[in-house]
Amino acid sequence: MIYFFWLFALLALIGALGVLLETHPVRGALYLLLAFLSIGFLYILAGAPFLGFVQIIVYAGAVVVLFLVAIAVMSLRRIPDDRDLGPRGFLALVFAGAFFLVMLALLRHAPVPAAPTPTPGAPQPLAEALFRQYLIPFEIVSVLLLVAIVGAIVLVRRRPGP
Amino acid sequence: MNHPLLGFLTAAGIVFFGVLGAAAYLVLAERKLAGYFQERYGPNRVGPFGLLQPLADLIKLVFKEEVVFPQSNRWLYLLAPGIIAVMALLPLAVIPFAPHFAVTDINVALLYVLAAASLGTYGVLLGGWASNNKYSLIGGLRTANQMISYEIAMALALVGVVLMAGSLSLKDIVAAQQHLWYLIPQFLGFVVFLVSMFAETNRAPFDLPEAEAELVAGYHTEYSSMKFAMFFVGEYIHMVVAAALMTALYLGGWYGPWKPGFHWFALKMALVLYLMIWVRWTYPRFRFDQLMRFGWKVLIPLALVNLGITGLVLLR
Repeated sequence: MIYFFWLFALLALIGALGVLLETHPVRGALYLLLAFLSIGFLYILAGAPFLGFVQIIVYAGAVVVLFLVAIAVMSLRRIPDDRDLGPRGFLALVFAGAFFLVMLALLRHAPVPAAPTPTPGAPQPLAEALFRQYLIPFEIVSVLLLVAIVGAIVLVRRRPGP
Repeated sequence: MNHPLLGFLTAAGIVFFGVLGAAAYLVLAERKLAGYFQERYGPNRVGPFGLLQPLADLIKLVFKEEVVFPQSNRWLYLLAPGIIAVMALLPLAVIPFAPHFAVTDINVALLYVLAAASLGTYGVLLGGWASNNKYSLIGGLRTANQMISYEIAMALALVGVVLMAGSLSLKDIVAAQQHLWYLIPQFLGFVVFLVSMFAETNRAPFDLPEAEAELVAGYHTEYSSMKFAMFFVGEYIHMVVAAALMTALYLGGWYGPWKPGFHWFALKMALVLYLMIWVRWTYPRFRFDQLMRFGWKVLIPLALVNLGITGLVLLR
């Protein structure tokens, strides 16, 4: 199991780096797909198959497909590589490094949670938690998503001319 | 010698080769039936009743010239047929063909099936894009739109079944149908699922991705030889999987009068496959805007109505 963890962790990192460094839009989207899939497999390995498969269906299966369709419809070609490596790039590097150090410190001091129970995370406990214990936050999040969808439609809607 | 992995591999091997054989003869069955629907004989030259035709087709495809066009994106172009075939085969791992026979049984089996279905879109989309041909690209884009739209309706129809069975495992869902097939209480869901399955398998009346009258052959225009065969077999495996899913989810799986077992499962699958072939050779193709309108404005609302009714009845 631990070998699979390293494999998918490595693939997720390769995917994430590929998204940052690739200048060809389709290949960039495929790196994103690699990262999403690997993270889905990591969830499954961590004993959360429900979350893992939902990750694969929603992110790998739907979101990246829509990216690819958008890229193909707009026939985007290679983006010129004009990354800003001046003062702004330097600042970004400093902040990214600081964030990395903070995360490292947190990981070192955070209590390590117990290993997941050997019974692979059944959907029932997840449903219990979502719809009983955390019902209100769950519904608030879904309303938030609905607001975002309505907002997106309103933003792109063509208004009748004056 | 009695390693648990051995039984698993044996079951996987039986299912894999069984389904490949079924897919090969499904091609023959389709050609035969198409012949009868059109008042001709269909293939009948190779072997008795044309029974060796699949073998002849295979030999022909193996010996055809492999063509990789220089303008294509080589890696993705070669990868795409593989994605289609593999993603079509994946759901077979969780389908319970008989009371004690399934490759494996996981508690999120239906999500696994949906995940495989949604990843299958990449085969068509990438194949169409990597061919670098406008007909292929349009075919690929249409497929992506079609599959995403109809997967929503399909998933919503499945939620009704999951609510009734109280489980995502296909084995539990079949076991819950011992006395009443879900075809009856979930009739609306069954209709939605059936129609979305026609769209998922890219078959007429929803075979827009490869509409030969407008797109040459759609996403597989630039594919030849075994690469084309992978797409082709992938489609037929998809049909077998769709029939197996429909049998397990709505038609009571292995249950039947007298002795429950694999023969009932196979019989129901054969009936569903016959229906799919019958529809293909009877109805003309939709137009693309009709297809999208039907998916979003008819099927998804119907699936939601079904879900609402199921929820209300179960809560009562």
